[in-house]
Amino acid sequence: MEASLGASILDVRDVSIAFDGFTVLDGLRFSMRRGELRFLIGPNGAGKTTLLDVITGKSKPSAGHVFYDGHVDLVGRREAEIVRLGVGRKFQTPAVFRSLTVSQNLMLAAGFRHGLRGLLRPLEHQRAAHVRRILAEVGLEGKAAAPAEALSHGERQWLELGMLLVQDLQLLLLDEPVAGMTRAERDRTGELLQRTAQHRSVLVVEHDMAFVRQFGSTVTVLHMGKLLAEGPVEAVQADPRVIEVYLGRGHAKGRSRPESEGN
Amino acid sequence: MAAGRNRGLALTLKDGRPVANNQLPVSTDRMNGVAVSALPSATPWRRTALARWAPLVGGGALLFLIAPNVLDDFRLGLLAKFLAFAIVAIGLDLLWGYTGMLSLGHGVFFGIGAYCWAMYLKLEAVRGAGEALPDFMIWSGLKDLPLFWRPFASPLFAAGAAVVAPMAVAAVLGYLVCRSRITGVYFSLITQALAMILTILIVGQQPYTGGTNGITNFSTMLGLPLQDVRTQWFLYLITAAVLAGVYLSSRLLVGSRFGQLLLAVRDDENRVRFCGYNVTTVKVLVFALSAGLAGLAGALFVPQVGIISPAMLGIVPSIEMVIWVAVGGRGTLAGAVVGALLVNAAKSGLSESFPDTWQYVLGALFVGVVVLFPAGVVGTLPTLLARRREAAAGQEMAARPGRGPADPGDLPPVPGHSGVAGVAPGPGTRGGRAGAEA
Repeated sequence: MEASLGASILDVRDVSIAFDGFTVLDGLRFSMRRGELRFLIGPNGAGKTTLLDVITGKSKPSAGHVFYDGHVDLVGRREAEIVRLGVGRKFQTPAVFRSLTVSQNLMLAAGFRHGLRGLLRPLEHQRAAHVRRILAEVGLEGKAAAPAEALSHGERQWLELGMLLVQDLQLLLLDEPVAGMTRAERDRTGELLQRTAQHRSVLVVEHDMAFVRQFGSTVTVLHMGKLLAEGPVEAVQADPRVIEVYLGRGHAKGRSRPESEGN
Repeated sequence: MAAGRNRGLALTLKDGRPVANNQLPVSTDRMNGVAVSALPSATPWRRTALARWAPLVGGGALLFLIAPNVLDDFRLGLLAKFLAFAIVAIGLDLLWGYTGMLSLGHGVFFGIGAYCWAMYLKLEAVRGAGEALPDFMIWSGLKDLPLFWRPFASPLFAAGAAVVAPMAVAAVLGYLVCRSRITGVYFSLITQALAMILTILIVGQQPYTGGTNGITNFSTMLGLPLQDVRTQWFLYLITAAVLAGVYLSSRLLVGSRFGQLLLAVRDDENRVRFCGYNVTTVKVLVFALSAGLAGLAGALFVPQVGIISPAMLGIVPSIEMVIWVAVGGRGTLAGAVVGALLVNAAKSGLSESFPDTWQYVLGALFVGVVVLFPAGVVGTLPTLLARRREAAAGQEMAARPGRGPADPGDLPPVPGHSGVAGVAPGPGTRGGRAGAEA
């Protein structure tokens, strides 16, 4: 494992964080190879979303480091700076800008490397073409001029994914990208995710084991802020410890596909 | 499997359609040149361009040609004052309507600008009368002109300070507040506290500021006698020109991607951070810009009315400024202008007709407008018009079943108006490509 560190896009080392005395992440160690599509699962309160908060600079860990791209420590940096380094995040509840149209949302995300003065000019052709490509990629080209608030839940998820894709980032962190989606929408999102992961490293927090199973990727199980198990889906699902903490309790819940989760 | 997916999507779109149809007429108004030119769409350009420029040209004609010829000197003076207020309203709208930061202390910035220019006017009056010191300094027993007053003898310095000083105060306060991620009502409270602090400071430092009475008894500005009708005319034209310039450049600003960034900050500040933008910089910039506009307006206001006192920049005037924007319609620049003119016209009209009860009437008017038309006058009108147009289109559609809307130019460019029929080809081709890639 130590040997693969050179190629790791993300290396979480002994990260701990507590809120009001409650330990959420407890010396977590976790690492991801460049170009990998990784799934992160775990029961409620396991610390999945908190881990994303730590990586993206939203929360400061009380101990530990998060190395991105080999040597860049993300701890202590501001959110916007981390994005500019190449780490993007999709939130659990789709967060798009309601007052803007679909294409404006994408253009706003695409223009983040411009200075504020650059924002007074229109987006240059190359970028605009890129935005159009992504618009087609996420299947919203027919809704380019529609306000984001008029989109359905699934479409908002795609839009937010598109906002990450136009930014040309190295590492994407997706928090439950198929939550609240219909079956058809989940299939489409799955395909989109497959294509996305061809060019980038992607970490997906997901509850839906049926969805995870279709990818054949490595799954990491978090429990009580620690890494509980890691491996192929089948192996993880067969792991008695995992069954006990997650699948045993969470199976029924997993079937009901929770719309949102409080952590 | 692909077919199943398509059907699912088409159904979603069809279900989502009524919502989209309701929203779209509003969204075209808000769509700007950037979006339209950068991405393929078939927006009826000429139509929107006409709709966009006609009120502008009309407003300009009213401002520069009609009003000066129709109104008497007194009314024109009043209008000039209201136009200065409209400049404040535009700045406040950029801050509140677009960026979502409600300042309850904009009187401070207006006041700083006004005081800066008043200090110059006072020094010129003192010099013209051959006196050594402003009257209130003599009454307070000062012997020499305080050091910080001296540069204000230069109109250039005073004019610069009237804009730069409010911007500096806003930038420092804004940086401290925004860096700590103090938002929403807490931001409003802090700005309100600022209004209170400045009022107390000015009242308490009578020898240097004129105290409660403020600064008054001016005589000339740049050598022109302020009592002269021609000077007041000149002031009117200057104010109108500044307002026009401020309005047009603000329009360019909100029409740019920077304007979209402001809306994004208003919608979800946190998400903007995770888009890679420095939200603090954006907010400080807008706050400072807004303060600078208020300061500019204050400097234009002072020579028109001939006095500035703490009563004009405290909490109550600050809240009044917010009311102008709320009544006119926040988030629309025209609304800010209309609101400032409307509310102030009502205020002066009512106070003439009902000298005893006008404040109650005005208060009732505010409450009525805010409760009944939360989007303000300008924000509500287009929605009402669009609804009427839609109702008309709906009737026509009902008369011709199975067809799209009667006039495609009436509605924005989203394909698939009639629901499934228009949308179906889209997912089909997408599905094909996805299949090819997989």
